[in-house]
This record gives sequence, structure tokens and C-alpha cells, in this order.
Amino acid sequence: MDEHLTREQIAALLDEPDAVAGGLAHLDVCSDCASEFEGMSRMRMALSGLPDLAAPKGGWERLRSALPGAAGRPRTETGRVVSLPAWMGSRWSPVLTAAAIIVLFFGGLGVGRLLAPTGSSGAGGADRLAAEDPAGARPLPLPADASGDAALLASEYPEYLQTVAELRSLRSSGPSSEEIASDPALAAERLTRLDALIEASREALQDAPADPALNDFLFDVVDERASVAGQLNQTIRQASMEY
Amino acid sequence: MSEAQLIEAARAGDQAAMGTLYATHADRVYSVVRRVVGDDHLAEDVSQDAWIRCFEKLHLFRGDAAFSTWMHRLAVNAAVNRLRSQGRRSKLETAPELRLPVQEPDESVLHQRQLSRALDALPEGYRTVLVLHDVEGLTHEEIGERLGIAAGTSKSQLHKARARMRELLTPRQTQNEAGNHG
Repeated sequence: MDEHLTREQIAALLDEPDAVAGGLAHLDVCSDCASEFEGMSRMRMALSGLPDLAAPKGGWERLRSALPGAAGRPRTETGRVVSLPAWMGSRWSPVLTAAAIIVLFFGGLGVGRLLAPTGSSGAGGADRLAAEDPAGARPLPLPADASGDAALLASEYPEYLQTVAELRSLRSSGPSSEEIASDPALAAERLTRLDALIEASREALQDAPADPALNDFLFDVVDERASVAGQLNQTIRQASMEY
Repeated sequence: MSEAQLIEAARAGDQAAMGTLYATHADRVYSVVRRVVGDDHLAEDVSQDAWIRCFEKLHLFRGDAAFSTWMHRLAVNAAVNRLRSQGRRSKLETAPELRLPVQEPDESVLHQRQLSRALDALPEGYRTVLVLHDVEGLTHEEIGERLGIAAGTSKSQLHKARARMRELLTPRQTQNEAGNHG
């Protein structure tokens, strides 16, 4: 080989000695190309050893303000950010937002452990919760080794009670069964709300598929939806017969 | 608190855990993004996008790989996608003539600052491949997957990028490319 190697050829030789026919043999006899090969090899080593750059200061503060939940999107009192589905912008958003908070809070907290009868947690007793929450809380099974976790989580119990109260408020805020039975528009609106709750519940269950409280909540909402849908069908049938 | 616990807490929206994860990996993320995009302000913006995506998608992280690996992939994807969406990636074959101020060749010491300046001066296509391969240690197959190009294309672009880097750092004075021996 009478010609010098190009830099591209030398770059190829760094990784594959056979990349250029006769390339390595040429390096043995050409000091210029050998020098270039050596320099390129050092460049590659230097590149691989470049230290990390320092991220700009204040990056976390800027990021935190840009995260979902920072601009008016809901979060729990302890700072948990709630990821909201698109329907939050609907006309029922206050109610549905509250529902989503509750549903997703259930998923994140692992409410089943708090609800379980535990001798050590005190504040986490299912009986007490059931007494304070007629909306549907009931004793749930607890793994034998979870009492310690329940004790650790006891500090979050007041927050949990608050969400239960919000759930109770949510359920009581809708129209009554009688109103729904007599007004198809109200029934349709209720169905929409329940569909949204079901969607949010299922989304939360992806993160906590075994959470008993969350599953119970979903079953309750599904049952209620079936009931409302039945009532709506009945109302429509009666109306058409009268017509 | 272990990293797994931090991730679990961050999934639940615990901002302290998110902040700790950020503090642990922010430099690594910023570094790869900065070196790929070649611009301070853009790097800051893209890094933030990568972190937002991280926390939005954290429920998808299953721990099959290290969090740092997962986050690194998010960062690279964010950087590449930003360049692509902005149409800023130069055509690989039409690299402009760029040259750093000529410096005395000193091959015994390659200063990091000098390397960084040369990286910034590279055309984006070259820079991306060079950074991902020689700095970040990705294989050509991995680079091809991230950039949507063939592994062979990544390889040839790497060789061109290295050659251009050498031109920028130490113009070859004793010979022309492919010149003849005296």
C-alpha cells in the first residue's frame, strides 16, 4: 500500500483490524499513519472517559413546577401527584376529580393493609373505619406479616379517613334513586359519572391489582351502574308505552 | 431508602422521592442530552422533558434493568426525538466545513474542554453517533435502534465522525487525506 490511510480508514481500524485490507501492515511501515492511529486511539479513550457534566442548578425546582400536578392539578396533602384522565375537563370535573383522587389514593396507599384488623396499629382498625364509614368500608384480610407495615402507615390514617369522607360526600352528592328513576337526563348523567369512575378505578388497579378496597370500590360502582342503567331502560320503556 | 423503595414512592407521587431520584441521576441525564444536542439551553429543556416523561411513565418501569439504564434510554430518546422534530439533524453526507481554531498539536494530552468544543462543532448526525458509541458505549445495533438507521450506517457515520473530530482537533499537516508517500 503506497498511499496513506484516510482518517476514516484509521477510524475503522480502531474497532476492526480487518476493516481495511493491508491496513495494519501499512501502520507498521508508515509513521504518519501510525501516529494518526495512535492519536485517534487516544481520542477514543478520552471520549469514553469524559466525566459527567453538572446539571444546571435549580433543575429540580424547575422540573417540580413543570410536573403534572403542579399547575392546579390535584395532589394529596402529602404531595402525591394524581395523574388525571382527559375527562377531568368535563362539566363534572370537581366531582370526578375528587373521585379520581380517592381512587388513585387507594391504589397508591395500599389501603387494604390499613383497613385490616391489627392489634398493633391502633388507628388502623377495620371496625373503627367501618363505623366511621358507612359508605362501604369493611374488614379486609391482612397478611400475617403486615401489621408492622400497618403501624408504619398509621400516620397516614387521618388522610385516609378524609378521603373516605370525600367518597361518602361524592356518593351523596348525586341525585337520589327516585330522581334518577323519574328523570332520564339525570340517569344518563349519573351513568356518565359512573363510567368515569369505573375508568379511573381500572386505571388505578393496573398499579394495585390486588388492592381489596379498590376492587370493592370498582365492584360497587359497577353494581350501581347496572342498577342505574336498568332504571333508565325501565323509564324509557314506560315512556314509550305511554307515548 | 433503597432505589427500589424510592421508585415505588415516586410512583405514588412522593415528591421527596422524585427529588432524590432526580438528584442522583440528573448529571448523567444532562450529560448525555447535552452532548447529543450540543447546546446548553436546548439540553436543559430536553433534560426536563426526559424527567417529566420518566415520572409519567414510572409505572411502566418494572426493574428488569437498572433505573439508570432505563433513564438513560429515556434521555437519549428525548434528545434524538427533539433533534428530529426540530429538523435540526444535518444530512449525514453534507457535513459543513467546521474547524476549530488551530491549536498546537499535543497528542499526549487531550483536554476535555477541547474535546467538548470539538463535539459541539460536529454536525449533529456525526455527533449523535459519536457520543452514543464512543462516549456512552452503545453498540451499533443499539444506536441503529434509537436512531432508526441500520447498524452499518451507524458504523460508517462513526468512522466519519472520528475523522472529523481529528480534523477539528489536530489538522493533519504532513499529508493530505489519502495522500501519497513521499
